[in-house]
Amino acid sequence: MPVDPQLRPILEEMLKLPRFETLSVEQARALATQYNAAGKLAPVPVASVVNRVIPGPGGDLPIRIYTPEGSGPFPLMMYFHGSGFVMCTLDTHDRGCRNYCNAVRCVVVSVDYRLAPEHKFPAGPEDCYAATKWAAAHADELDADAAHIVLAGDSAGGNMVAVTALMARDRGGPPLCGQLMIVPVTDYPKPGYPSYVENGQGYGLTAAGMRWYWGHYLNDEAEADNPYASPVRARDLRGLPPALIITAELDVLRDEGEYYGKLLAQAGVPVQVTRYAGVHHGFFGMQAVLDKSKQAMAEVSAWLKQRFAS
Amino acid sequence: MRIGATIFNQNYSDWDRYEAEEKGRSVPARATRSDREIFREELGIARIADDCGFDSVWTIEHHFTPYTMVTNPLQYLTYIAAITRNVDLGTMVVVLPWHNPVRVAEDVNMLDAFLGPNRNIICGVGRGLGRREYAGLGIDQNEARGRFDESLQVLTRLLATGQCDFEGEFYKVHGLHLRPQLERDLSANLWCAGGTEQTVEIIARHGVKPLIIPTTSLDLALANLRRYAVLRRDAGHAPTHTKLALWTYVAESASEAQAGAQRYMVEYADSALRHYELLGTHLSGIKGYESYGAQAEFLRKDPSPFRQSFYKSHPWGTPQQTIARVTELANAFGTDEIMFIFKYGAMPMAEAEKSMRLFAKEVMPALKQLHPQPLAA
Repeated sequence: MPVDPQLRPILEEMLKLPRFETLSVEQARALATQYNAAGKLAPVPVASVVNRVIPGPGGDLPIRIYTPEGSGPFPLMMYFHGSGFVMCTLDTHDRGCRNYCNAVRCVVVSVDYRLAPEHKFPAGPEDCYAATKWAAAHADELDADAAHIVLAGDSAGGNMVAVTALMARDRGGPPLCGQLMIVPVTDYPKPGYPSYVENGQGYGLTAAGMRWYWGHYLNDEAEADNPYASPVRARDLRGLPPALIITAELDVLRDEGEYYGKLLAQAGVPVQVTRYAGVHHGFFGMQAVLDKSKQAMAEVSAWLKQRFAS
Repeated sequence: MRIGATIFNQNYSDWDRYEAEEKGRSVPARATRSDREIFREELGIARIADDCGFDSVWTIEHHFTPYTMVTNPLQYLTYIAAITRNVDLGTMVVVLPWHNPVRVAEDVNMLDAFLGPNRNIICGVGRGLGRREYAGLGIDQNEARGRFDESLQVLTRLLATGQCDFEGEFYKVHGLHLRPQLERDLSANLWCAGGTEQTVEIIARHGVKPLIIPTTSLDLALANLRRYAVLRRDAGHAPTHTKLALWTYVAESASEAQAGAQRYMVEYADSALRHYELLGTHLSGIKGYESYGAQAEFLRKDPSPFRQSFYKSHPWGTPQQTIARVTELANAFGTDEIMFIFKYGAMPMAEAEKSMRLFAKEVMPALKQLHPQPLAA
């Protein structure tokens, strides 16, 4: 399917930006922060947003807690932002967290996990797992219900979701009732995913970009086989929580996301995989301008409500 | 429901002298009752509120007339923050077109930093009405609507995220980050007063929560609020609570309460007429204030029922009578907090304190048990 007509002008503007893989880490971070600056749009109001610092495996771990209007306890979403393992912040993904908080009426805990290259694998997922354990143990304080925790994240944050769910299974909890992966990174780049060729350039995130991100993330290429880096390479996917995987037709990561869904289903995990046609890697965050993004958010909200009602 | 106390700082007995002076007549240069004496004694309201279990202390912003002497509520509340230990603090309101919105956000943020995580600053904002105030501050009142709309957007973004990128006609703000950095989203405590149709539209569209200061009429305020609820729903926002200001006078006997309320509430209503020049012909000619102009035309025919109806509609009486009337109003307006004004007109501080302490003891506990529903369209 051709590029969605609503996306076309946005994509044209986006392609004028420098490609991340041609930049230094500092430049890439500055560009991502500027592109997603929190103050550009009118904020989405929620009942409260509080910054906190909790103990993490590498020292202080900042988190941001979003609470909806009404009286709790609310279900809990752990949110791991997209990053390419290298960039973005709690601020760049602030709006999305507010939308989840209101749409699903859940407490959202957004995690400022450590980024590469300063903190390589497995610092990021270890932070996400520690934050999830902390939130489950402090659910009362958060006005949240520890029996209804869903992990959610986009892109590299989707990788954090898959890996944190594996860690929670392998390490005895906390119990999770769902994992939501939006356009996730599930595998180290390897031949065999047509989307790496079909969508390797021209739609924002490029194949070269993915190699650049992974290069910063891993200490050496051998780590690519570690399932906590590439969850599709896990030998056993049984016993993981139900999953929703959203993929985009024009995304480099489309096929690995859908492949992970297939593997989960084979392992007996209830899984729903939905591909959105004619849209690119970053489409999900464009609810203000893309109908496809609104549709995806409606699907995600319905799935989350159903998981939280379980 | 939460209960607050609002400090007004009126020097009512100075109105005749003030108006004569304004018209160029030869009058004494100073007010008979010292402004500064009133200013200092009303700090007592904050101390009483803090000691007696009120949830919040509020103040207002006005300029140049005997109507009040609080010209910068955030500065005022910063002092109150230091002389109290428990209460939250609120503005009702910061008049946005009279300020640079970035500085308002900074002042709110700095006060929040003083207060720490257990006390809140509730930021009520508004558009302002007083002709003398716009003139004295050198701001064209015809620009009020545009300045207000843009300021509200800049302020909301800064209070929500500490960041703002905004390109408007009056304000251009790029790549700004607040210091000290936010510890929480301060826009959750942003409320807005709206006395005109235009303002009601703006705040409903932006999903900002309504703060109601019925300086002219409770009926009119309720009609405005119903319109707000419809516009808010149409803009896709969930129903919200309101915050409501009410004038009160509580006494052991109904006759004592009536005497106090009738005297001082009529004085207050008179001060509002004089400060806002609600009988003047200027309002119909100002962009965005046409609805006040129509109201003025109506009031000019006979202003005395206005003063009387103000006193008749606000809650006063014995503790039981006061609870009954406040309950009725709280449910009608769907409020989660009422800000009570205990001292107004030329009421002496001792009389205000007596009414306020009786209110705290006999009225407040019952009101705190109320849980009015948010106002639905």
